[in-house]
Amino acid sequence: MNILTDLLKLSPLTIFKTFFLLIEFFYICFALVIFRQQKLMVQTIEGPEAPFFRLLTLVHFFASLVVFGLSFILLMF
Amino acid sequence: MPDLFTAPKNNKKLLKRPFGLFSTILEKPKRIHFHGQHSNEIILLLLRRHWVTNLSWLILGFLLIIAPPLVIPFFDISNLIFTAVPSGFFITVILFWYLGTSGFLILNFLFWYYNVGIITNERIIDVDFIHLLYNEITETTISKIEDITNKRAGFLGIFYDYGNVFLQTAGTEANIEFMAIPKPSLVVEIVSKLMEQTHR
Repeated sequence: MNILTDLLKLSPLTIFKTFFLLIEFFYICFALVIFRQQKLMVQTIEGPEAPFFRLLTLVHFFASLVVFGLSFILLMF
Repeated sequence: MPDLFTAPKNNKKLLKRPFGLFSTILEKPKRIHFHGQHSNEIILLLLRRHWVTNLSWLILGFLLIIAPPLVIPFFDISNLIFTAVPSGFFITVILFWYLGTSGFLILNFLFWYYNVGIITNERIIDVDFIHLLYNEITETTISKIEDITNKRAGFLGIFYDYGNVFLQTAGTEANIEFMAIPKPSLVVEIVSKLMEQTHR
């Protein structure tokens, strides 16, 4: 893969790209924590808006996956 | 069961729900329940921080939204990075920027929405989600409350009528604090009435 050979060459742009992808990966974990926390919040206070908040955090989580996937394709190939 | 709390007639307008979802003070909300609620327990008041306290993160969120359209033309004109960095990289950076902004706004809204104070006919509960990995739920029965005070300070606090309410409990029970809630004097009045009725 190009990025691995570039990494071996230690190209500054490749290192930056890898670092960026790593941040995006951590963001996926963060989005997952938000989703999980929202579920805990709903268990504590049950309101009529709970399904909307669940959908919102779920969409945010899936958006983070999509952005990571898209970044991976755009940056690696 | 006797009705422990009835809102005074002159408070009806004060406790009116202004926006439903964005209400900061709700009187006897019918569709809201909390974990551990007893079968005959009624929520008398549900309190959230005043909406003015959200202005800081709302303004920051707005700035984060408008920042890319303002900053990108600057780079385009000066042509500083575009020659060295592939265009795909900018697309990913912008997508990630807006993803992060949406996460920031969602998280702050959830913290505001779920950090509540609950006054029921039996007890008082303070639900605090401090940050993503830490939450604190404090509760006490009305009979254990010894002292109640409210503090309203600052220009915004006076102007928009919001402040902090401190409930001191007996013995080793944890004290309860409702921070930046609207109409703190009204909350004190209601809790005092509940205390009187319970101690009778």
